[in-house]
Amino acid sequence: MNPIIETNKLTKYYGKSRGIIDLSLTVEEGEIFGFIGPNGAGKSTTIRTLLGLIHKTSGEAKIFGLDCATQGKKILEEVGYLPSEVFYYENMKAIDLLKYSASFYAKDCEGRIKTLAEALELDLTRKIEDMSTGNKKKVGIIQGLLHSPKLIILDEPTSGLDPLMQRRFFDLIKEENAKGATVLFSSHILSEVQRICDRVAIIKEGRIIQTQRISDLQKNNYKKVSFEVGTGVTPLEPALEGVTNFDAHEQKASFLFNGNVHLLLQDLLQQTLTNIDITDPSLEEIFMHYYADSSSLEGGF
Amino acid sequence: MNVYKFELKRLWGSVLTWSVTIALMMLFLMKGFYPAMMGSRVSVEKIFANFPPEMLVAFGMDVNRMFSYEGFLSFSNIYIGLLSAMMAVSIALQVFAREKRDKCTDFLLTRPISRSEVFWAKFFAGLTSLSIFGILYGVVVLFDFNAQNLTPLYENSLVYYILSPFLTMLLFFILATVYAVYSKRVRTIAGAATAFAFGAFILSAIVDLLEKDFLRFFAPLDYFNTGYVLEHGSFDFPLVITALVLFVLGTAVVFWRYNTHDVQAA
Repeated sequence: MNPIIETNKLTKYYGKSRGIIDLSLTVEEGEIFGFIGPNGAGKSTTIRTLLGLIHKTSGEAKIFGLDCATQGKKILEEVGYLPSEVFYYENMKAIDLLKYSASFYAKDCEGRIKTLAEALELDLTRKIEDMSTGNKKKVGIIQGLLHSPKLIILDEPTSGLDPLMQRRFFDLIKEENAKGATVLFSSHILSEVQRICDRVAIIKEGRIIQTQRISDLQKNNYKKVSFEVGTGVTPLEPALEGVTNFDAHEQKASFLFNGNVHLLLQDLLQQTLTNIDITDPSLEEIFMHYYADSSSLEGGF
Repeated sequence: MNVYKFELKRLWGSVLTWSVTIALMMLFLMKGFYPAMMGSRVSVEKIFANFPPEMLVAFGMDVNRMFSYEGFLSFSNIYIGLLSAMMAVSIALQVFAREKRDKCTDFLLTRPISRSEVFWAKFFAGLTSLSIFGILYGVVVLFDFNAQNLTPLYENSLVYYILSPFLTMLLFFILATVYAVYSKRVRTIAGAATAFAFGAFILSAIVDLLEKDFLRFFAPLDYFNTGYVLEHGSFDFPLVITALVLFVLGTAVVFWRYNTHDVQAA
């Protein structure tokens, strides 16, 4: 497989502030590559450096084997980008903006604009400033895909889209991927990444701490369990394998669990429970647990 | 070319409004105000005699000159120059702060076009807009001058009168472009254009009042002063050179900045 995106020790500082540090990753042709991490971890900095919107401090970044710093124009001919927040020119109709966007590519994009607008149920004759956030986002999706790019870069793309439209959006991305497009999908929502990505890189404080197949990540099916016991009773840690991060305060306790839920409930029912809550842990909680010793995992696989 | 066309299309209304307004003001001054003033010269001279001399200097009113056609044209040029500076600042900010104001720099700079291509497309769209005004203004001045059936004071003095507002525009265009490219946020174009022009007008007034020769370099509105043309038959050469240096240097600085700055997320 050909690498579509390659970074080698890519570093970006904003003055003295950390952006990304020694970030090395490879995205192969045809894959949907997730890029996850909490806000401020460096996802957008990485993407903006790849797109030439900001300039690296050191290291290398290549797309299609071309240097992002010096060959941006050539690279961008085959890149579609959808930022997390979309802003366009005042007083413009969606169709005018999309035609302007299309004018930069040596392709006839008109048919494609119509097809995408129909798929997303977007009225192109309306002024963008009069549109809802969701509809503006649809304009963003169309401008990112109208030239059938070989690489699609999505930076937290689903904010502002309702669940139905999110589903349609993911279907569109999968269709593009099936036609051969490579996708870099940045998000802080684990479920989104799990939904469509083949592999995922996890970024924390500007560094990639793990690169992993989604299938491997899903094997680790963690649950966050919180429970309360009656007054005068101390909550006990379940004596089961898979219980970690147990924390108790007065009558309340919480822990992460990865194992047989049936056995867990049997164990917990031995205590006088007054309340119980079993949820998916947040991405941050998984990070805190799963990558507690992140230094030993650096470099990925 | 698409960025150039896009910018011209977006500027069209503004260029037309400014150009027609300034041209009409010129016609009003030369065809309405000037003949009326000439018709009541004695009364006007009495009024001027009651004004403090400092005020007449600050507003560019030289009574001895104002009753000749070229003298009045030169006086009018002070205010035409002021409006031209406002127009130039407005055009520069519209062109170079458009994406910053609409928070869509990401959109433009992720199209397959280099930043230097975007810069020159915008730069020449701005210059084209100013040239449209320059041509229209030239036609108006020529038309009026020919209607007067006068002989110019100097062989080329008419060329200087025509070029003065346009060259002032070029200077203010580049100054405003520096502001647009370096400032983090440009809130209102009208406010910035007014601040630029009136700031420059006050500087000119102060420089005129202080009567220190070297201070004239700090009054950009007077770099192409046609009052100087009336006395010497040409522009003040050191000021022309200074304007040229500022224009070239300013262009180089904004070109460098436009190509190298980090575009932060909106």
